[in-house]
Amino acid sequence: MATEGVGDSLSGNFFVRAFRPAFDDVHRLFDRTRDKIEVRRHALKLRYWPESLTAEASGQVVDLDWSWIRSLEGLKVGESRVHDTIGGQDNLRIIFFVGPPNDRLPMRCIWILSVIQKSRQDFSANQIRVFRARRTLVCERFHQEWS
Amino acid sequence: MATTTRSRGIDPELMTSRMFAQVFQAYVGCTEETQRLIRDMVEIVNDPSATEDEQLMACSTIAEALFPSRHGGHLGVDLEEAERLDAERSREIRDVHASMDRQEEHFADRVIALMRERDMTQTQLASACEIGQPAVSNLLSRRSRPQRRTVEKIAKALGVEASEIWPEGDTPA
Repeated sequence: MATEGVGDSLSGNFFVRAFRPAFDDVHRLFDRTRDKIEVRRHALKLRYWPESLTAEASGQVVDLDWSWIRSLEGLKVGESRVHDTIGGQDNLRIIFFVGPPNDRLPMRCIWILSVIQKSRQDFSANQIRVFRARRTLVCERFHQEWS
Repeated sequence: MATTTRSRGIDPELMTSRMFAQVFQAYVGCTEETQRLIRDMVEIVNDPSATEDEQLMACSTIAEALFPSRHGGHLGVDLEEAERLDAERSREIRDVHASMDRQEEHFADRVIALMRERDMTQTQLASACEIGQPAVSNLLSRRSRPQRRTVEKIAKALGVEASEIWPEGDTPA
């Protein structure tokens, strides 16, 4: 096998932080510890979020497909799709927010706002309201305190 | 009147009022923006057409808005740190981590061995699987856990069954 060494330079570009309400979502979805950890390991792929993707409408982080949520255009809130069925739940989505840069943090943060099972093509109006509210809280409580 | 609430038992209205006073104080201590979003979430909780899931998501958001959680002085939990701390705290979680780590190690070792046998590069494997070469590198260096779909694509590209590169022994936890 030819070795390429490109992967050697790969390292996380972002901290991945989960917001408490996202933990509540996970606890509602899964009973087994293993399933919760499985979702966490997939969410941790967002560490490798490449800045260059931000201008795109959709893409892939490691092996997770992602896209921005159209109803929250410009707010940097996206969904990444977990194709596996975990704990009997399919169509799982990790809802994330790409936080703004901050000179006082060594790396930027990607926030996990929610983990849900998507049951229809588009998010409901209420789900969008919840995602927007959680993003607002993160911006107000975390990013302002560091700015 | 000598009769106290305590001697008569718990007065539900008194208890509710006490709780309301605590919640109201937390509410008025919030910024205008947070108060606005709390009212928005309250609408969802009281909306009979909202699903139970939507109402529970709104409730979690209200709880965080009124009573912010703090870990190490900051909002939210760093997932890498949580992965490490959870394992330190619980034997059950340590066992789950060990089981998953073994699966990922087996996967990486088998795929690397099969690539070597076929004189296949990461770029060639990535191209056959329709994922990026950095993703292949990331998975083979065990920085990330592959999805089942990815395991199947890689197995197909290598001409083997998925079970040959991914051990199915799943320890329930």
